[in-house]
Amino acid sequence: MPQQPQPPKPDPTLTFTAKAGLPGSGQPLEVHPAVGDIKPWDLDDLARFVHMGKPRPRREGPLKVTGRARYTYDVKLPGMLYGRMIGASVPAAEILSIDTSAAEALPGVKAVWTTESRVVRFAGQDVAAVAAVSPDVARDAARLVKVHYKERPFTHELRDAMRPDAPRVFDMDRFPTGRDMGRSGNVAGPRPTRANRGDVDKGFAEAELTHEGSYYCPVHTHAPLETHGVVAHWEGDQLTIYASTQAIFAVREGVAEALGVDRKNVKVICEHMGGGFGSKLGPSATGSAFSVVACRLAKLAGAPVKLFLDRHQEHLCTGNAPSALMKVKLGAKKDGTLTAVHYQSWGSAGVAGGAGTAGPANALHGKNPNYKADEWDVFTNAGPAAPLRAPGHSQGAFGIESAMDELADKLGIDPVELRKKNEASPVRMAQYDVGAKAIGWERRNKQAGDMSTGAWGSAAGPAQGSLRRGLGMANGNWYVFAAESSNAQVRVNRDGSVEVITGCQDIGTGYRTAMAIVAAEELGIDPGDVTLRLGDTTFPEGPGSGGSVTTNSVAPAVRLAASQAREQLHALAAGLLGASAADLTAANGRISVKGDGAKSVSFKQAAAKMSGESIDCLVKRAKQYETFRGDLAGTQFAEVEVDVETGVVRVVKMVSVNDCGLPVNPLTTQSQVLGAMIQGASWALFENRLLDRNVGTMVNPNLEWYKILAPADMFEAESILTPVANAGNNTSTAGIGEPPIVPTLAAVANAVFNAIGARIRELPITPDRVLQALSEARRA
Amino acid sequence: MNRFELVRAQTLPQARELAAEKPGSVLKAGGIDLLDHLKEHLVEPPRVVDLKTIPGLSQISVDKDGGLRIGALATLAQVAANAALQRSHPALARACGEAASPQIRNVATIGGNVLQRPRCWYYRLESYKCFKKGGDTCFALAGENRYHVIFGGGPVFATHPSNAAVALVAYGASFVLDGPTGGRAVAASDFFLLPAQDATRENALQPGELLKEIRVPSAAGWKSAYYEVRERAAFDWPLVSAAIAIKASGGVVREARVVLGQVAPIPWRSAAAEKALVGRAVGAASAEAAAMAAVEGAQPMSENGYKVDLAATLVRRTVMTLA
Amino acid sequence: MARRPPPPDEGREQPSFSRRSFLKSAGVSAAATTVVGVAERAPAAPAVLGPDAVTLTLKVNGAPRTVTVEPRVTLLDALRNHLDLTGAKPVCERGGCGACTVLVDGAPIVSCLMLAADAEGHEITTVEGLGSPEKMSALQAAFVEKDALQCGFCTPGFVVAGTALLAQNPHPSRAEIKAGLAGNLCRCGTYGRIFEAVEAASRASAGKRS
Repeated sequence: MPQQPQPPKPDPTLTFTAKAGLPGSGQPLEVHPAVGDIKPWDLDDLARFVHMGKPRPRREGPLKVTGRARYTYDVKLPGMLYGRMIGASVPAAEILSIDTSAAEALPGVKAVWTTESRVVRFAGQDVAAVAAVSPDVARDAARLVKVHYKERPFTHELRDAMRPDAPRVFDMDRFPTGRDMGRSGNVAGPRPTRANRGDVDKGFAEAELTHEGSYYCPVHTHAPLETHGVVAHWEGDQLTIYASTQAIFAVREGVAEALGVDRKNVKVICEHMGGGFGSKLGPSATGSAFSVVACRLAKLAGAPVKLFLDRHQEHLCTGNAPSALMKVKLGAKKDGTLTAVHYQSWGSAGVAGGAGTAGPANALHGKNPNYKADEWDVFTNAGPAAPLRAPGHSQGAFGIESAMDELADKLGIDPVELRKKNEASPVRMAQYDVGAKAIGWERRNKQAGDMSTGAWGSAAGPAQGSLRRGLGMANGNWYVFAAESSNAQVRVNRDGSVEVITGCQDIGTGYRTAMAIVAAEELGIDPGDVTLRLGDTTFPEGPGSGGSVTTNSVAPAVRLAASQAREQLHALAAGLLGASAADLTAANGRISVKGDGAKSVSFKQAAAKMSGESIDCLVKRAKQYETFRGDLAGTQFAEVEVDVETGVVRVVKMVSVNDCGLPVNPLTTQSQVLGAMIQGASWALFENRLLDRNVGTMVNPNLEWYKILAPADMFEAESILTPVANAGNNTSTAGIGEPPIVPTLAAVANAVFNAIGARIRELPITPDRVLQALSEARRA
Repeated sequence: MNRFELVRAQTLPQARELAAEKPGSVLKAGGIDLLDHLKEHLVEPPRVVDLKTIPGLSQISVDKDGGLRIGALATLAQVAANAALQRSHPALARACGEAASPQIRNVATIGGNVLQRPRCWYYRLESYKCFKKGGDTCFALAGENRYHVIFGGGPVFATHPSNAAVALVAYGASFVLDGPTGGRAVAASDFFLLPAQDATRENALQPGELLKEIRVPSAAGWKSAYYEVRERAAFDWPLVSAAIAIKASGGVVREARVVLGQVAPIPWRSAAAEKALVGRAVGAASAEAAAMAAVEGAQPMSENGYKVDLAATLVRRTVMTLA
Repeated sequence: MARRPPPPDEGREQPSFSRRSFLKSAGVSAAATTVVGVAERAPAAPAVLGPDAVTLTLKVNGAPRTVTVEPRVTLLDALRNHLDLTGAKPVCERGGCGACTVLVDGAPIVSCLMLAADAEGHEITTVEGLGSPEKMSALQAAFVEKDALQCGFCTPGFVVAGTALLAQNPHPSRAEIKAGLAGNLCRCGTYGRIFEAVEAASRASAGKRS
C-alpha cells in the first residue's frame, strides 16, 4: 500500500496579542509566531520608538555623492580582461555557422565563446562572446565574429502575433508555458485561475449599466543605469564573481549549477548596485547567460574578466515589462455598486510566458461579488520579459482603473465615491480622503474637459488659451511577501562595537540604513554605531531583492538576533548592577534598571564583561504569521496639464498614499514612493520599446529614442505614508518598492481624460494620441 | 570606434591637406556627432583631423551694420549666451539654447550642428543598411516613421536634424566654405539638399570643403521668433520646430520668412506661408492663413500625420508672438 | 531660456564658460586675428597621434596624470580604466544621460563623447575632485541630507552638473535648476529631491557669505 503523505507538523507557536491596524483605529489581533520569536512591534510602540520611523539619511550617501562607492562596473583587478557579448542580429533564424577565426587572430584577444544553440528567436539572443585586453579590442574582436543565419519569418508585436497566420515563435510542443494551458498559434491560455468568484453572467444581468473598453500598454524596458554585468575571477578552483545583481545567492546558485562546481567554491559580491527594477534577480538576465559566459571566458583566458552589456544589448536581452491588451467589462447599479467584472488580458513577454495582468482587477473593488478573469500569453520574437516593478500590475491597473474611471463618468459619479462604494479594504478607505485633500480633489473638472468648472490659469506665452488641466485618481494593490531564506547575524564585540551581518544586497533602497535602525532600536544604541556587512555570499543567506520583500524579510531576523544579543548583554549588565536581567531596559547606549535610571551601565561596559571576543546571534526568519491584512493598499492622485493644440501632456502634481506597514526610515521609504511615481509617469507619457515591423529589430535601443522622464518633466510629487501595524512579523514592516507604481499609469490617463474630455486607451500618451483622441471626440 | 590616428591641425589649409592625404579621413570640431558615428561604426576613418587646434574659428562678432559672423567652431552654448546675438537674432539664440543638453551645448559647435547627419533611428544604427549608408532602401517608408518627414521625402524620409539651421535660413544666413580652390559663400536656403538631389548627403559641401564661418545679415527692422514642440520638456528632439522672421512697416508685413524644422529632409521654407503673411497685418487672421498655407501639400507618412497639425499650430503661435 | 543673460555690452561677445575654455585651449586671446589671417600664417608641423597608444598628460583634479591610450579612447574610459577615477559612470555612452559628466575648465561636458586626447591642456574635474566622504562639498552634503539618491549610479553626474550650475548661477530658480540639470537622467526617480538639494546648497552658500 502506498504510504500516505503525512502533513508537516506545525511548529510550536507562541501567542501574542498585538494592537494592529491604523493609528486611531487599532484593534487587538492575536498572532502565533514560532517559539523563540518576540512580540511584534505594534501601535503601542509608535510612541516608544527612538529610531524606528524617524527620518535618517542613508549611510552609503557620502560614498555615492563623492564617486567613491564601488559598483560592480567600477571593479578593476590586476590583469583583468574585458569581455563582450555578441547577440543575434536577426529576430528569427537558424544559425548555420559561427566563424570566430578572425576574432581569435586579433592581437589582444584572449578567449572566445560561442553558443551551442542553433535557433534564434529574438534579436539580441546570446551567440558568442570574446575577452580581450581592452574594451576597444573586445569590441574590435566582436565585430570580427561572423555569424551566418538562415532567416525565418518573425512576429514583432502582440497584436501582430495574435493573427492566425502570424509566423510561429514556437512549435506547439515547445511552448514555454504550463501544459495545463490551451495553445493555438502564438497564443497560450487562458491561464487557470482560482481567483474567480461569483457568477459574472448573473452579475451583468443584474447590472443597470455596463461599460466595456479595450486598453493597451506597450513593452517597457527596465533601463537600469548600470547595465547588467559581472567581473569573474578564478583563483584555482575558487571563483569570485562581482555582480551587478539584486540577488547574490541566485547568481551563486545559477553559475554553480551551470558550471557544475560546488557552491562553496563560488563567492558573489555586490557592494553597490546601479538599478535593476526586477531585471537583475537571476544569475544573469532572462535573455542572456552572460554571467556564466564571463566565468567561462575567465577560465579559458586564465585572467579575471569584466563583462558588461552595453546600452543597446541591455534593451534587448535583459528583460522588459510585457505588453498587454486588456478588455474590461464592468456592470454596475446606478448608485455605483459593482455587480460584475470580467477582465480579459493578452500579454506578450516576448519568447517567455508569464504576461498576466489580472492582479489589480482581482484585488481591487473587493465588494464586487462577481469576478472572472481570462489571461493569455502571446509569444513574439522579442527578448523575454522579466519582473519589472510590480510585474503585470501597473498594466493591469491601467486597464481596470481606466475602465472604472469611464464607468464613473457614465454613471455621473465622482471616481473617488465610486471606489469607496466598492471598497473592501479599511486601509484604502482611510487613504482616499487623505489623498483627495492633498491633491485638492475639489478642483477637479465636474465635466471632463470643461474649463468653466475648473479655475485653471494658463501659462503665459504662445500657448495661452490652449492649456487644460485635469485631475485623476486610481488605486493600486500589492502583497506582503516574505522570503524565509532570510538570515541575520548580530555580532556584539567585546569593545562594544556592533555588526549586522546578512548576505543580502542593498540595491539602493536604503536597506543598510533600515537594518541598522532596526538593530539599534532593539539594542538601545545609535544606528550610527551599527556596522552593516552585506552583499557577500559568504555571509548568512539573504533574499533576492524582488517583490518588495527585502525589508520585510530581513528586518524580523535582525530584530530577533539583536534581541537575543541584548538578552546576553543584559545578563552581563545584571551582574554589574546587582539587578535581575528581567528588570533591565536599554536605551541611548545604556542599560539601566527599569524605574531607576540612575542605576545603569553603558553598553560598552556590559560588553566588556563577555567571555571571549564576541556575542554572535544568528537567526533565520520565521514564517510570516497572521496579519492585520496580507495586502498592501495604495491610492494615487494626479494633476496634469494638456496643451490641446499640440497634444503635449505635462504632469503637474502627483500624490501617493501608501501602506508599508510600520515605516522603518520614512526618508528612504518616501524616496522609493516618489521614485515609483516618477518611473510610472515616464511609462505613462514616454516609454515604448519599438521593434521595426519589417526587420524585427529594435529601433530605439538607446536613451535618446527610448525616452525616459527627464528633470525638465519633473512634477510636484508628494508621498503620504499611512502606517499600519500589520503584526505579520515581529517588526510589522512591509515592502514599498513596487506598490506605488501600480496606480500611476491609470492615474495619469484618468487625469488626462478629466482635462480634455477625450479618453486615451493606449500608452504612452504622446502628442499624436492626444490629438487623435481629441479629433475623435470632436467627431463623436 | 575603429583605430584611427588623430592629427591636430594648425591651419585650415593644413586641415584640408591632412584630410586629403588619407582617403576616408574625417574632420572633427566638437566631436559630438562624430563620436556618435565612430561608436556606431557609421564612419571608420583612418585619420581624424582636429579642427579645434586651429585658432580663431570660434569667434562671434557683430559687424557695424549688425550682421553676425559666427565662427564654425563657436559652441552652441556660446551662441545661446551671446547677449548681443540674443537681442539681434533671438530665434538663433533660442534654437541653439534649446538644443540637446547643457553638457552637449558646451562642446557641440554650430558648424557641427548645421552639418550633422540625420538623427533618423535607422540611419543611426549600423545594422540598417539604408540609402544613406550605401543601401538601397529607406526603412522609414514602410516602417517606424512617427518622427519622419511630411514634406520633401523620397527616396529618403529622414528629417534634417539641425534646428540652428532652421533659424539661419529664416535670417537669410550664408555659409562660408573653405575649399582647395578657395572660398565660397552659399546661401543657407541653397545649402541644404533634398534627397531627390542626392540621397547620400544633406548639403552642398563638396569633398575637401569645410565650413569656416556663418554669416547672418543684420536683422534690424525684423522681428523674429523660434519655437519647438517636444515630447519631453527638454533634451529631446523637437517633433516640429519653426523659425519665423517678418519685416513690417505701417502695420503691414512687407517681407516674411517662414521656416519649419523636423518636417522635411532640409529646413523647410514655406513660400506659401510667407505669401499669406505679406501685405497683411500680423494678427489672428494672418497667423491662421499662414498656418494653413504652411501645411498645404504636406504628405504625411503612416505614423506621422500629427506633425501636420503640429506644424500648423506652431506657425500660428509663432506668428502671434510677433504681433 | 533659463540661463540668465549677461549684462548688455553692445556689439561685443560676452564671455561664457565654454568660450573661456576654448580660448584657453587654443592659446589665443579675445583679440585674435581674423580667420583669414590665421589661415595665411605658415603652418606649424602637425602633431600626429596614434593609431597606437600615445602618452597623454591630463590635468585631473588639480594634478597632472599621464595615461597611455590609443587616440580612440574617450575621456570617460581614460578616467575609469586608466586613472581609477570611477565616479563618472558609463550608462548610455552617447551623451544622452549625463552620468559621465565631468568639468572641463569648469564647464560640464559628457566625457563619453570626448576623446581623452581632446582633454589635454584643460583642467578636468571629476566628482572625486569636488569632495571626499569625510569632507563633502555643500552640494554633496545636501544630496545626502535630502536623500537625493537611491541606487546612486546617476548621482555623480548630477552632482557635477549641479556644481557647475551653482558656480554659474549661485541662486537658481526651480526652472533654472531644471534647465541646468536637463542633460542628466535618473531611473530611480530622485529628481524632486535633487532639486531640493541644489536649493539647499544654494541657501547654504548664501548663509556662508552673509
